Amino acid sequence: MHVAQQAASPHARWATPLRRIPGLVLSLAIVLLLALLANRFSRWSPRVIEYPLWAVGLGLIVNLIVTAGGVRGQINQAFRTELYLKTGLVLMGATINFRDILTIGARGIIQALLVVTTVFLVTWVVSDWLRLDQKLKAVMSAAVAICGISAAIAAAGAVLARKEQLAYVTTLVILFALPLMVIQPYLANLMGLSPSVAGAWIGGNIDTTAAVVGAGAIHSEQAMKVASIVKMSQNALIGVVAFLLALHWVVVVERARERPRPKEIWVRFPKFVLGFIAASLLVTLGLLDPAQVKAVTGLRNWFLTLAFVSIGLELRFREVKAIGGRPALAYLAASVFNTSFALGIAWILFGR
Amino acid sequence: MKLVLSEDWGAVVLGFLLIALVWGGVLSNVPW
Repeated sequence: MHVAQQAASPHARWATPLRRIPGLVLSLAIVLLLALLANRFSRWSPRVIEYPLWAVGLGLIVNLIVTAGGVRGQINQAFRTELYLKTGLVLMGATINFRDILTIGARGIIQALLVVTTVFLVTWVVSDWLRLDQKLKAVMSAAVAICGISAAIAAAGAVLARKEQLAYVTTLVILFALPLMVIQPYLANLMGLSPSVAGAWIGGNIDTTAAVVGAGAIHSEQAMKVASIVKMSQNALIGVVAFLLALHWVVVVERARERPRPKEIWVRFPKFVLGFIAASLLVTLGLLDPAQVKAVTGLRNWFLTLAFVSIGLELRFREVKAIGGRPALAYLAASVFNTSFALGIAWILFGR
Repeated sequence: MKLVLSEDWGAVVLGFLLIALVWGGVLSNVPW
């Protein structure tokens, strides 16, 4: 009765969106304030603590506070890692010459094909050894091999995984990506890797794109650009992997007659990569002068900082507690393999 | 999935809008 009354009221249609406005404004204010603080703190602190670390750290602290206060659900509308990150990457396109994208991207695609195929199969086998659920195995293999969260979503769609399994894997992705984002750039420095090899290693190993860009930024500007291009080459494979997974699922597992359509490859393709390439083409054709490129670089850094702040804000502590030992062990084993394999491939492809 | 797709195109539109604002001289100095 109550529901029917509400649906009939002309005000009801606007009531829900209007009720969300204060939460949206507040969450936007939190994200912007934390990004500003991360920028300021990174200027005042020693050089080793770069802005991505400040941003994620501040995001995690505020996340803990709002989760403990029980208000996280009401003020999370502007915690949008993916949107800020993708906008930042489109802007990054306008700071990179198209020729660089072609040379780095060509090697990036070779690296992506080698890393994605090998890591996918290794995770698949490790998950079998640890007797993980078939659907969880598929989602995890895609997440470790390709690009964390978006690949996990695509794979979950392909094999019709349960919601909890997807939440499980995406939380694992962030839990592993955060320490790697801090450790990998320092390891790359310790090993004396060139910025290109360091970037290719970071891009080929860390699962979530936001942490890849963060780790690259902690190392150097060049490492950030190479890491982003390598990661985007990997991201572009999402559609192909989702299609093959769906095909495997219906043919081998379910033995169904229906077949997934090849159109899925385009449907899953990360369209922001096209924006990145188009922005680079514009700048290579001379549309922006050096002062304007500097302004775009500033905007890019702000959007990436918003993304880093959101990673900290979006981590779900309840799901961290719910993760069982065996999936975490499978993820750990696959990540250790991914780290060493990607280092070897990055060194061979980008070492000279 | 629909959400992911619209986020992708949303990022492209927002990115190009910002580039256009820089190109048009509206945003000429973005301190970082």
